[in-house]
Amino acid sequence: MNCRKVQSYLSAYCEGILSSDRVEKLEVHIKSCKRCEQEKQFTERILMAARALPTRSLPEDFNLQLLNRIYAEQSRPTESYLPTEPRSLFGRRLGWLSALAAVSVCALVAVLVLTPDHTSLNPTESVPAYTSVEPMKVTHTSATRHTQPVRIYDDIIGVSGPSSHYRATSLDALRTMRVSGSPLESLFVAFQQRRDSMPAVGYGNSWRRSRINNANGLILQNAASRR
Amino acid sequence: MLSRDKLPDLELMQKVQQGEMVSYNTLVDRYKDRLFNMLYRMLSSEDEARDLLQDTFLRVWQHKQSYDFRYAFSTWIYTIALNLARNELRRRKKFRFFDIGDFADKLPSREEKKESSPKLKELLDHEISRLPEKYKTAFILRDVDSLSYEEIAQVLSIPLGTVKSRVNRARSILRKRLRPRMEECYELSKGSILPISIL
Repeated sequence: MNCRKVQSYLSAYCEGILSSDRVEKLEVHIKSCKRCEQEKQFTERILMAARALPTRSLPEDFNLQLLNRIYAEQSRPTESYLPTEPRSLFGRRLGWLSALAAVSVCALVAVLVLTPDHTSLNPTESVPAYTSVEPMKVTHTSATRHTQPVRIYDDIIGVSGPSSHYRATSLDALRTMRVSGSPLESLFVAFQQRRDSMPAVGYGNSWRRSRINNANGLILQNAASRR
Repeated sequence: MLSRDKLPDLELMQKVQQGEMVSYNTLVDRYKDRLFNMLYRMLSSEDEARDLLQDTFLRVWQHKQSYDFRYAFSTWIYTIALNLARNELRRRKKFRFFDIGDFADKLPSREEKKESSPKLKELLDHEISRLPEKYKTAFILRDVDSLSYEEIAQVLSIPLGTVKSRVNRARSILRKRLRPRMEECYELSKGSILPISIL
């Protein structure tokens, strides 16, 4: 038996629960190994000390305090002491259903947010962020009017200026300008929807709204110039 | 007829189930000190140990009807007390609050250090409080409270082999940590075992 094995058996040996054949081998080893003998003594001391550890005593009125508490709890039953009715199957089902509904709503919102805007004129083009882009003057010919819609879209986004210049931003006004059915109309509708979905609070949102209004105004301006 | 003090736990518990408060009081007297010391060693705070002890006995009273007579009463009450202690330790882990008084109580002052080095029992008490929770619990139940391995396995709801290995591990950690102090004594005694009282 080597030192490592002996030290793993020391605990059981000191308690007297080691099998007799192992005890024999262990004692043979200990006689010849000073280190293991020392370890054995240390273990015995620890076990003796553990059984003689200083004890702390409770206050004399502990029983009285406990009984007072029991009587107090009995006279003032709380909800936890009342028998609880088992939850109905319907209740349990409702819990699952509400969880399922919450997950599906989240999934729906995620799909709506992450999928590219279908009203966008080019589905492969991602919607540009509302950052400051230098306004570009685009000259639209009849040939390029509908073939380069994305470029127009970019131009609209980049426009900045006072929104008061562009008041006629309703769909009806747009229709009167005879752009109904054109890609511009769908773009305008997309803008309207985006604007309406935004909450009306906060500086950032009002700033975005003004940018969108400006953009909408430019749509009208472009439509008017084409007319 | 045996007096209440000599009645076994199970008989007392039967009387408690009939609502007999005197038998309940006898059980409280029988277990309060060892449970209090066990809780104190687990939590290192007398106030919390006292509160949890009260909670333990309160639960015994409130749930007396659910006691299963197939198991020893000691196992049941130790399980309740240990569960409460574990919850408290878990709560402490979540919200770690340090009071400067905690440290002042535990560490010996400079004057104390100069006067005399602490005895092995005091060092052991301190080292037990530093053990990881699972080893500490196993060591306290086995070596301080002298519960059998089977009882500990029931109280902690773990296999017997796991209890043995935890106790063994706790002892070897303590041996390692207390070695410097014990080596001093070993040299002094030149190999003979000194009586615990002078260590």
